[in-house]
Order: sequence, then C-alpha cells, then structure tokens
Amino acid sequence: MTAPAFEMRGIVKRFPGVTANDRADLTLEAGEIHALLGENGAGKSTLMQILYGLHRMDAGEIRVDGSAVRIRNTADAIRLGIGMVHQEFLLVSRFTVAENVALGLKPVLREGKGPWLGLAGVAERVRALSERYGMAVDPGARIENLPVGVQQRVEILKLLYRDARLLILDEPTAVLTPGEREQLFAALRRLRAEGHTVVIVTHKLSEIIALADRVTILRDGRTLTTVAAKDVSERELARMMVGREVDLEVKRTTTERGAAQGEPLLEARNLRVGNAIRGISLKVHAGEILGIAGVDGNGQQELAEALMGLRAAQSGEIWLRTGVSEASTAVRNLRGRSVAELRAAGAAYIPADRRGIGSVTEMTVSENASLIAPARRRFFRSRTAEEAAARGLIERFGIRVSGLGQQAGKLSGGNLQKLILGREMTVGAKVLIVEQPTRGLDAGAVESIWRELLRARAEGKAILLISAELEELLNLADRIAVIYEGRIVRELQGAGEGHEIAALRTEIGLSMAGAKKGGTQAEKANG
Amino acid sequence: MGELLQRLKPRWLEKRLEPADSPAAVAASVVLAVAAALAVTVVLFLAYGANPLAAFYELFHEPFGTLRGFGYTLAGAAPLSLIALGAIVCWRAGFEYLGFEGCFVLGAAASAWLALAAAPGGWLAGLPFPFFLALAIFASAAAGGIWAAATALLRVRSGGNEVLISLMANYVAIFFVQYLVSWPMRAPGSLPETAQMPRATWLPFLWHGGRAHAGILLAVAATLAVWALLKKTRLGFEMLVMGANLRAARYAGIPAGRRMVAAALIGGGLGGVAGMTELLGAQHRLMDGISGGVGFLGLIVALLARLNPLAVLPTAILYAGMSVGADAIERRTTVPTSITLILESLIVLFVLAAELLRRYRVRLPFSREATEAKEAKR
Repeated sequence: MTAPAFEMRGIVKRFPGVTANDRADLTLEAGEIHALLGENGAGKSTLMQILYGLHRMDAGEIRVDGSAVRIRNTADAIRLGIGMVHQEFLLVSRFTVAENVALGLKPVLREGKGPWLGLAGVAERVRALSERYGMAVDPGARIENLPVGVQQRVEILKLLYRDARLLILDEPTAVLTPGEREQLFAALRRLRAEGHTVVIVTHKLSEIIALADRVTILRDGRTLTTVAAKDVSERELARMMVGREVDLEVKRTTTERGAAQGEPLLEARNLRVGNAIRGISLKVHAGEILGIAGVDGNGQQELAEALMGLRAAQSGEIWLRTGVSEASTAVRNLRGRSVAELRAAGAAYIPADRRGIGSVTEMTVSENASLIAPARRRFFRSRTAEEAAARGLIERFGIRVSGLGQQAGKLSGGNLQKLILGREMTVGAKVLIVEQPTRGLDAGAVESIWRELLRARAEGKAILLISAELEELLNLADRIAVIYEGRIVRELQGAGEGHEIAALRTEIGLSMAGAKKGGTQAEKANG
Repeated sequence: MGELLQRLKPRWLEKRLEPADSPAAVAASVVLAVAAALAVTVVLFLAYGANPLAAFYELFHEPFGTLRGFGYTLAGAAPLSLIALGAIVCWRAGFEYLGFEGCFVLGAAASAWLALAAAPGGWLAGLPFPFFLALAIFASAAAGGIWAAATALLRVRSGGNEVLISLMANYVAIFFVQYLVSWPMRAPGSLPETAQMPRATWLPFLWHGGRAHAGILLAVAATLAVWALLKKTRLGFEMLVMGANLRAARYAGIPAGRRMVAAALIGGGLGGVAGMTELLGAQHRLMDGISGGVGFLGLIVALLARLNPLAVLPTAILYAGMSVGADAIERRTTVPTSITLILESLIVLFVLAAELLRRYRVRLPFSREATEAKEAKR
C-alpha cells in the first residue's frame, strides 16, 4: 500500500479565542476529487490555508508522498505542487492571460533568458495546457475582457503551469452560470484522469454528489468522517455537516398560487438606470415571491438599488402601495425619492453585501438592530430600546451572538444575515427587496433564511428575490424572471405541480447565459 | 519581500488576527511609545551636554509643578482641546476636515469685532458680560461653522475633496484676517493688529495673577456636549454610522449630505470658539498669525486621543504643558527649545506607530501555549 499523495494529520490551529482546527485530519489520494464540507466556522478554510502556507499550524503534521514536509509559506506549498484558487480571483485585469501566468514565476520556470520574460514561450505552454485539459483560453486575451468562468480557468492554468499536483478550489461555482459550471466540472474530471488531486471547498451538496469521489466533513474544527460520495445522499451529508436533520426542500406554506396573491404592492415600469438597467418592468403582489434569476453583474444590484432609492434611475416609474400601516393605501410614483422616503413608504432591502452595506461591522449587534431610522427614537437614543429591539430579533430569528455588545462584524455570515433580515422584516415594511440572501451561507443558515422568507410571504409581504442560485429560486419563487444585460429576457412560473423542474432549470440556465427565448443552444461562455 | 519579512520575523512574535483593543493594551502601547520617545530624547539631551534627569525635571516641573506654569498650560490647552473636539465630530462623521486654522482665525476675528463694539461708544457698549459672552460664543461658532459647512457643501453637492479644499481654504481665511488687521480693524501704530480688547470683554482668569482663563471651562463643557452628542443622540448615532460606513448609512435612509453639513457646522463651530477663547482669554488683540498653528496641533491632540472626546482634555493639557516646559528648558539649560518639538513629534510618531504593536503577540518559548503545542506534536 503506497502512501497517500497528501496527508494532514492532527492539525491544530488556534486563533485568539478560537480553535479553528482541533486535530483535523485529511487524506488526499492522487487522481481524486475530494470535497471538503462543513458549516461556516468549521475550519475548512483554515485547514486549506495551512496546506497552502498562508497560516502556520500550531501542531500537526503534513506529509507529501509519505514524507513529512514543512510548509512555511506559499512558495513552499507551490514547490510541493500545491496550488489554490481563491474565491476572489487574483488576476491583474489589464494584463493578458499569458502575462498573468508569467507573473511571479520563479526564474527556473520562466521561458526567457536573463531579464527577458519570454512571454511567447509562456503563451505557447498555456495553449498546450489548455488544450490538454480542455480549458479553452486565448493566452493573448486581456483578463478584463473575459467572462468570470474563463478567468477561473486562467487561475487553474496558472497553477498547472507551476506543476501543481494538488489544486484547492474555494467555492468554485459561486460565480458561474450553470453552463460554465458544467465546463468546470468537465475540466476537473479531466484533471483527475491525469492523476491530479482536486479539493473543492463547498457548501453545495448537489455538486459534491455530482462531482466528488470522496467527502471529508469537518465540524467544530475536527474531522468528522471521510466517506465515498457515491454512498451518501444530500440529506445525509447535510445531517453530518450540521449535526441534525435539515430540511432542504422547504415547502411553501401556501400552495395555492394566483388566488392567494393580493394586489400589486411594488411595480416598476420601464425603469432605466444608466447602462445597467435597460427598461425593466415588473410587478410584485402581496403574498408573492418574484424571483430574479441571473448571473452576477447583469444589473441585479442596480435594480435593487434603484428600487430602494439608492441609485438614480434616469427614466421609468417606481410605484409603491405606500404606508406601513394598513390604513394608508395611496399609490405613488417614487422614482427619484430618497431612501428614507421609500422606507417610509414601506420598502425594505436586504443587500447582497452584508458587511459592506447591510451592516456597520464595527458597531455592536444592538446598534445594528436599530440602524434603520424607523426603528429609532426621534432625538435621544435609548439604550434600553435598542437592546430590547436586538433581543427581540435574536429571539425570534435564532441569532447566535456572544452578547448584545458584540461587534456585528464578528458574527458569522449566517447570523449577521439573520440580523439584517430580521431588522428589515420587522420595521413593518410591506415590500422586501432581497438580494442574494444565502450567498456563502451553510446549509443550516440557508434553511432558516428560506423559512423566514416564506413566513414573510405568508404574512402577505411582497418579496422581490434576486438570486444567482437557481435552486433557491426554484424552491421559493412563485414566478421567476431572468435578467440578462439589464433586461428581463424570460418570465416563467415557478416550479410547482405539473412543472418539470429539470426542464425549467435548463430553460432558466440557458436564459441566464443570454440565450434567446426558445433557443436550444447555450452560447459558449467564451468565444 | 514578504518572504524576507517572514524570515526576519522572530519565531516568538505572532501576528494577531485582530489588533488587541482592550483599554489595557491601548494604554500599554501608549506608555511604551512615550517611554521610547523619552529614551530618544535622553540621547539628544546628552548630546547637548545636559543632564537628562535635570532636563526632564525642567520640562515637567514648570508646566505642572508651578501655579504660574500650570496657568499657562491651561490657557494653551483650552483652544487645543476645542479644536480637537471639533475634529472628532467631523472625522467620526466621515468628514475629513483639516480647515481648523481657518475656523480658528475667523472665530477670533468675529469675536474681536464684537468685543471692539463693546468698547465705550460702540453699539454693544454696556452689555453685561454674560450676554456678551453668549453673543461671542454664538458669533465665533457661526463664523467657524459656516466656514466649515461651505467645504462640506462643496463635497456633498459637487463631490469635492474636503481634505484639499479645507487645506486651501485655510489660506483664504488667514489672508482675510491679515487684511482685516492691516486695514479695516487696524489700530493706529506700526504693527498690523487691532487695538486691545476692552477689559470688560476678557474671559475671566481662573485665579488672580494666573494666565488660566475660563476658556478651559468652555472646553470642559464642550467635552461633555460632544460626548453626549456622539453617545446619546440620534444625530450623533447617524454621524457615527456615516463615519464607519457611508454606504450603510445611505442604505439605512440617513440623509448623509445633511448630516455631513451638520457635522461641519458643529465641528467648525468648535474651531471658531477656540479662536474666541484665544482672543478673549489670552491674546486680547487680533493680529496676523494669532493661531500659531494651533489648528493643526489640535488635530494631533485629536489623533493622540484616538478620537475619543473624553481623552481630549488630558492629552491637550499634556501637550500644552510640554510647550510651556520647552520655554523653561531653554531658559534654564543649554538645550534649545527645538528638542521639545522633537520630543513632541516623537511622541506622536511613536504613539501612532505603536498601533502596530497591538497587532502582534509575544509568544515566548516557555509560555503555556507553546508548551501545549509542543506536547501536541509529540
């Protein structure tokens, strides 16, 4: 029996106040795709960062091909054939693909002699690698002109160029269209066939089942178990990861559609925002979730911000059935009004950027609970009122905090999101604009966010749910509109009785990639 | 480069994920910084052939050990702390204003104009002092506040850079006051300055024969007011949100533009009142160069106080005291005053650099955690 290609044993890593890894183990064989699964804070990222030399472990051992090694920095890791693709790509957007690959190369690997870069030689090898692994990339193309899926290929090629045998991919599919995802999976399978080891760090259980050979589950910094992916179901994985039963198929509380829905509470008519939104009309009714599907950067954020008064719309109308209370039902065109006015008229917004927009990370939990003007007193602050508001949210939404005075930025993503969601849902708004509510959250948090959204729907709120996750929309939305380059290109009924979910998924997936209505072929993500 | 640093870094030094920010850690880093500054100064004292102990005695004895010196210290601390408080209001609201020199001289000019009007025969003659003081506070605050608000409006309306605009605006205000004391308000005589303010308009001295004036009491009141504003009012909360995260503030529905102008009015107003205390408390005459750079020294005090209003007064008193001590040192030893300037600058540099210390943890080979780690390895 030969030694495993890469082995981490008894890894301990402590940070002030937290033990990120507590004797975690991980064994990686050559020629496998290995998924690393765990809730946020389970220690996945830390473990991978130790392997890639970004952190030093406090105790434990790393073996490569059976012999113990020391990884003090990323240069050591690269020398040992370990490479990592971060969630945020580290590419220079003004440089070409070849220039990016050449960046930071050791002189030995550089093609040129002496001071010369030898870019032509680099380009040649990039071309050869991309053909070998089926990852089409033009070495002369500038990064800024490439779609996200191709940029990711460049990151992978960078590693392969440095002779990486182990590729660590952190949440690789978060930014991809369904089509791009399939291409990525095909490339990873090709890598596996060539004897490479691939580690994917992910929350998405379906991808693990589809792609991985083995799964290692981390919980509380420890390795719970490693299982063969073909032997487990999504439900079992979720249970092992969270430590309890998780219901991933959240059923809508009211199954009737159409009749149950009330009058339209939010309506946009031919809205235009710069180049980002090119004439969007939509209606969201009381008790309805309208899903907006699309790959990031097709105008979703601009749409949400325009509807909330955070971004100026050049033309079009925004109609809101105004008034937080039942009594006031005036309908007003609110384009060009301030955020405060839109909020007063009954709109609330859960932005995608939880830490940059939705909260003030250096302020406390209770201050963040009272961030929104309607939740606060008129002139003097009241600490008791703020804390009561925070306590109410914590209790109702099951937010885990160490105390009301804890810095909001120190909450986990899921708890912070619950805090924001709870705050926006309890100020009495009738219209919720929700943008990427579960991005980066683990299964347990996703479940509770979904439940809350459905509860708000049952309470008769009108919800505009913007998401890049098809599963989320298929699970929650009554109707799904697909946004592409600032326009709604398709509008479909959500998955319900008599609807083939698979067919719907394909259709939406194609529209997200910009295929025309009824088109049968996915446009290649990259020309 | 990174690799080099990695190699140079001793093993017992470990980077913290987040800087230690407990009050004890902050205090320790400040004490270390001041000690380092004093240590460097010792070398300089020696270079001038002075006995360091004697020199330090002179430096601190005069401003803090003598009533006369302490009076000067308090007189210096009043405008310093008012400006620092103004800077705190502006900066914590996310308005990076640097125009306090301008606010200061305009506030001084406005109160000079009022005080001269209160001279016998003027239109304010005979006004009881409390009313006059209220009027002077209002006028100087209005002058400084409106001056700062103009910069805020330029930023809010047209996206101007407040750092550049406020720095340049300082010159405009200073030249304007230069003009005032050279022509319209000039007293007969060779120097470009106004006549002495009528005695009735002077801020009362705290004790007979001392230079400490009521300005320091205004600074105490302003400290409490700024603290309450930031901690207890909705307006202050909204300003803090803006300063911490402007996008979150806009998202929350806070009218950021209006709040920024409000912060400028309050902060600049405090700068204007600082000018008033200097004029009616210490100089009693408006002249060119009345600020003596206090508009910038106040910013240093604000930084050293880490933008905490409650830390401003002690910091300002220490800082003003060192200036008083500097004069004493020059009178009594062979050491030039500039050494005190060097010491002051070193303190600022080291205190700011000491922030870095709080990002690391010392982990000695025989400490508990290291032992545990070794055992786990076995």
